[in-house]
Amino acid sequence: MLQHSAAQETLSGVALPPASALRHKAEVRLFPNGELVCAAGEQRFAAHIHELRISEALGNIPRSVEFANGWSFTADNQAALNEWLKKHRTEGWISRLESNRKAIVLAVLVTLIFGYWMLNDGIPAISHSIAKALPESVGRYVGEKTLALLDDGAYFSESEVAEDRRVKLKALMSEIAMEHAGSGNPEPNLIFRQWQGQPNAFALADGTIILTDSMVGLAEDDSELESVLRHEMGHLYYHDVMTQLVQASIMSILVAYLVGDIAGVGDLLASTAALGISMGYSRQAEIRADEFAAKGMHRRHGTIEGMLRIYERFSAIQPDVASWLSSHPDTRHRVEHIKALHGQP
Amino acid sequence: MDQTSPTPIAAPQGENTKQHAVRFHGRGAEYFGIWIVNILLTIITLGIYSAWAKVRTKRYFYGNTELDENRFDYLATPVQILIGRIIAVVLVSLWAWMSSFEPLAATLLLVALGLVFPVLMVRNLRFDMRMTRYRNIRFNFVASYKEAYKVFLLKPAMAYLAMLLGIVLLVLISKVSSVLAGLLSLPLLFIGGPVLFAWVNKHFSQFIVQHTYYGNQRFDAQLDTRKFASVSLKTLFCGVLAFLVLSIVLVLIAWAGGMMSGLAELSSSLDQSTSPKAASGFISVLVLAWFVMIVVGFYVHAYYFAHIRNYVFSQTRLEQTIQLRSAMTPMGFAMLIITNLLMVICSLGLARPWAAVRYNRYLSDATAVEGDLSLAAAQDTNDEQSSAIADEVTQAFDLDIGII
Repeated sequence: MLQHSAAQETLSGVALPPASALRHKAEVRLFPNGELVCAAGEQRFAAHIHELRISEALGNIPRSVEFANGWSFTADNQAALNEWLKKHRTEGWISRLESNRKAIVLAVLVTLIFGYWMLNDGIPAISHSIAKALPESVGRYVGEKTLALLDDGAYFSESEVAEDRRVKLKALMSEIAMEHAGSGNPEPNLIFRQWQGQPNAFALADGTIILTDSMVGLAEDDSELESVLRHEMGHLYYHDVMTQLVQASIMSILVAYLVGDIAGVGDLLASTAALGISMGYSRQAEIRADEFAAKGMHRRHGTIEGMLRIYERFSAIQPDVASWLSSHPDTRHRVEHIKALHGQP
Repeated sequence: MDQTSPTPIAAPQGENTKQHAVRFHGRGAEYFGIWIVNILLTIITLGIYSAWAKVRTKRYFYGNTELDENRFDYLATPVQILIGRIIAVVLVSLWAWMSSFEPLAATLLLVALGLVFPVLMVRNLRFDMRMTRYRNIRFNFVASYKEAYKVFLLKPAMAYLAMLLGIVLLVLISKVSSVLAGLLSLPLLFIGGPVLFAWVNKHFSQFIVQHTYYGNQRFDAQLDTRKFASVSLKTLFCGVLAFLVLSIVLVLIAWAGGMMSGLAELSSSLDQSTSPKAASGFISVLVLAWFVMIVVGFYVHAYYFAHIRNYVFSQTRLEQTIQLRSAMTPMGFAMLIITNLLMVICSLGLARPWAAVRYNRYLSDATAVEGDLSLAAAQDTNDEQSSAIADEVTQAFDLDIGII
């Protein structure tokens, strides 16, 4: 028990011999100059606080002191020993931060703001700069692999679009590419495929742009298809394909890090959240590609009529899916967005 | 120990069957400060501090766990964790990157990881045990890789093979009589599967307990596959029952809420599935089904975990003198993890420290040790350094198998 004699304190407690679990009743005298004497039965050992191995302060964990000969001591009155150690030893600044109210409030604020920024801008920006920094050969490799996968996997079959139509559309694609020459994105290469799903167009990492037969069939004139090609060109311009690959990698690491923590909370939830966030990024990319296409259409034709026509026709045949469950925003929303951008009623 | 040593505190007579409760002293508010500073410093140092954060977190939880007036210690150093963590991040990035466009290579990487899994497990367990100390004596894990391959690779492979064989037989029988095959498929799925699962898991638990040491003292457990199988079968039964009950309740709620109008519309107008109302009604039902799956999943997990932990502890002894006890209840544990989950979601993650403290307090409260804890014969045996590489890799790929 704690005794107050002139200048020293005596603490009773338990001492453990080196490499042993045998508890010995022990007494430790603490001196104001930092000296410490331990008496366990017949044994006595003295040391200065700087010669002891002391566990770092962490919350209110009872601390132990270990002597050079391997004996360790824990006090019955844990708070008294913790107090004496605090007085004679400068604690790390980390343990002081951990119990400082202002620091905690600040840390919460910084963490929340950082988390919000990371989700909205940080991860996309980091992924984008990594994607841009990757050598072109990586994009080429990924693009070729993806096309081979789609071609072999019975998703795609030969296109039936007439040869002269293809030549015309390819020429249109080259014109669009000329407008953005030298912007560092892969050179677009238009190809045609047939698939069972609804009208669609794809951009791959190597610059390949795929137009499906049903998309060609949906359009009534070339200015409508031009807007689709410009949208895909937008994906190339912003390196969206590679960016999303990098994003997926970053998300898997983050999820693995968050889930590999104690709390007993399931990882099904974490992976669902990751999927939801990825979908959000994908919708952002779609909106940006729409803006890119609308700008191009407006620059060339002075109007975005063609784009609006095909988007509206597209939305009429689109099944309704809750937008937060989809990689693409609702088409009606996309139409409204580009209308608003270009001052159309 | 030499003869000049002082006399240790003697255990009073008749203490040999005394129960020592495990107590947890951590507090949510106190841990919150540690947790948030860990996050802040991890952000500022671009993730490097996470190794120091892990050590502080582990030390907090070990140091607040008390057994017979002494606390546990966590001894790993941040640098050990950091090296392991860097290797784990490189491997996970490689895998995540490859799985996006090169599924074959990603699969090969996973297969390679599966082949070294037993080695990783042994090294991981050894690291975790050696970093755990109680009263100047560290735990240890000593097992041969050969035996680890038998338990972690050969036996699971045999179980899968047996299931596969059963399915092939069913297909052959279905050529003769599809009714007979249908009848036989039920016991294969609902009895054969769980029994094989139990057999594999029993060997996991037994392997781990039997190779764990407290200093020079050996843990031992004689586990019975029949007990594991009965828990597995009951878990499956409970899961199916809980799923049915919850589904019926939810469908009733959805119906009462008029949500069925959307569904009815969907079924009556399948040809024009573009109806937005039908689609959104369908989505709501999907979301509800997802929610039911999560709740049932937690309950099933809790049921299995609680019963297996109670059983394994009841069979675990240290040198035949000290007996472990676990008294978890499936419902109590399920309620704990579900309320923890809700707390964490509703607070946008800020309640994680309280959830972690509640979780550890629950497990500590359900645990006791019986017998003479003077541990007179125990002697620390570890001296060499350990590396945390296997520890971090297994955690990054979520390969941990929980035993306690």
